Amino acid sequence: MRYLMLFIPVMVALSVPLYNVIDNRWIGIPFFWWFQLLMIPVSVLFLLAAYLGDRK
Amino acid sequence: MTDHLNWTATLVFVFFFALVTVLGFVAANWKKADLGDLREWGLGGRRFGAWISWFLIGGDLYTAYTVIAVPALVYAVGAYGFFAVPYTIIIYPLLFLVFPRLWRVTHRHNYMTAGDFVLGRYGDKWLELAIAFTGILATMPYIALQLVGIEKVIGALGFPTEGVTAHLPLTLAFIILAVYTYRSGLRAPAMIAFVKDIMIYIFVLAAIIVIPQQLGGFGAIFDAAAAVYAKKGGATGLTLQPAQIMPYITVVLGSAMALFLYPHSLTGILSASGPDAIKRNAVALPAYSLVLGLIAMLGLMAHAAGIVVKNPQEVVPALILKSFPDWFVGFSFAAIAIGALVPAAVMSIGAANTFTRNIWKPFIHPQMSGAEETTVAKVVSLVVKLGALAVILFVPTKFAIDFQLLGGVWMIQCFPAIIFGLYTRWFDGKALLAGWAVGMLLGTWLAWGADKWVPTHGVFDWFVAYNGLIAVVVNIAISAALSAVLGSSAPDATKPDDYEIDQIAVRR
Repeated sequence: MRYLMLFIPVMVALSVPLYNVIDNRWIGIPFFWWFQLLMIPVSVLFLLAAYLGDRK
Repeated sequence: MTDHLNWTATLVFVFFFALVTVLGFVAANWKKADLGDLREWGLGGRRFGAWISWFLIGGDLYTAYTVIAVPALVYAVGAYGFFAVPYTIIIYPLLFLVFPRLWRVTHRHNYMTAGDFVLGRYGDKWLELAIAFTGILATMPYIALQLVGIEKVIGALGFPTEGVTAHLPLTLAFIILAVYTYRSGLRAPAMIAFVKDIMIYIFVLAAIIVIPQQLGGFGAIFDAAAAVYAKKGGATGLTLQPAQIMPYITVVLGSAMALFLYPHSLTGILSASGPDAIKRNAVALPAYSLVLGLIAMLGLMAHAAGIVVKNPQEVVPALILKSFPDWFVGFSFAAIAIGALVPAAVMSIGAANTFTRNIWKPFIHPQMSGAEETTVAKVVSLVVKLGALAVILFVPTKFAIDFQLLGGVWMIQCFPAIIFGLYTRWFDGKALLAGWAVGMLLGTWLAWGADKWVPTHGVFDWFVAYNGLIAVVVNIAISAALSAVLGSSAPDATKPDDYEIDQIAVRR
């Protein structure tokens, strides 16, 4: 069951209309661009949780 | 011929190239084993731990062509070119969940390729042939495009790009690569990947700190790029236009489904020492995605730097030349060129393993010994690289690019047979073969525009989607319908436990 949470970052990454906007900017970078970059480390947290769950 | 040569940059470039050449040959003695055994030559004995795999798979998936092509697309159209980022977000959950199963079953049965697995699972050598053929077909243009990466940086160093001597440096580089791959097998790119990946990380770190400073920060960069797209018009801009959203989503999904089916991806994954190494890599490989995302933004920085190139693929070398001192130009170009060697080597090995195991052995020479197997694979790895070189020397680059994009459409047609096959044997081999055939034809037909490749198609005037994804949906529907009608009675060499239970690694 805990594997289901791995679909969360996948679904967010595919929900393009959610982040297809310019505002708000972060250090000058439009939302569309920094949000997708931020999704990378966020997806790692989910993977890490799944991995640590496996080891138990 | 050397009037315009950037000597400092060239010397640094040659130094690093020489360094990895030495590594390529030395690698034959690394983790010493009998390289006359295909499992050693072609899969490194399946002994690469999490760290080595991280460098190898990272070096293998994030190719030099990516470093050139992704910023080139961003430079040309803006937001749409960023699809590489969500795409890399999707692939790692997939790697984590699915591929430990493939590793276990291939290890249990001594399979080396997707074709081996499909034969064992469905007992159908025609399906095996179809999977192998697709893998090789899709890999060939991909290798050729790695050469484009090398060619672009050699040109930017100031070597002549026309005339008789134009292809000399490229040819030389590739022959060296071919020779040490022949000798050392997968150990060569695994060792070189350490150097390549560290160099790419240094290059990107420098680029992302230095270039925005020169250009007045990210705000100024995005504003400058926005102005260029506004002037250019059409389907460009800092966000997607409404009509681009469905293509973006479906290209992301389709590319992610296809990636790990390529022979070179599977070679990288199966050479890992076990399911745990694969899962650790699924957690750690996104570090490369971050690098890729930053590299993609070089395409925007080029606009702010006022770089105008006729061929977008020259934009990264041009930006590097403009932004860095000569010695670091040489370093960055070497990083890109070496970045081409690792995937080119792994791709040729993956194609060679596939050809030997799934075409030559079952159809030409079934009684082949282990040593003969390795000899065939080594020769095929040479042939594949020479073929790629010939494509670049004699065929317009555009052909290789279109061919490679088609490769993605083809590769995804193996998804039902391989990925569904890891979970269920409900599907029938012949049904999957029929689905595959229809998917291949449909995908190719959809992509065949009047004068060029088209990536997407309308679905019943409802929405527009990636051709590969449309074709694989039809493929799955046919495979399922025929399986329901035919039933599935062919033998299955695998048992449910083979996918689930970690075998304690015992070296044979």
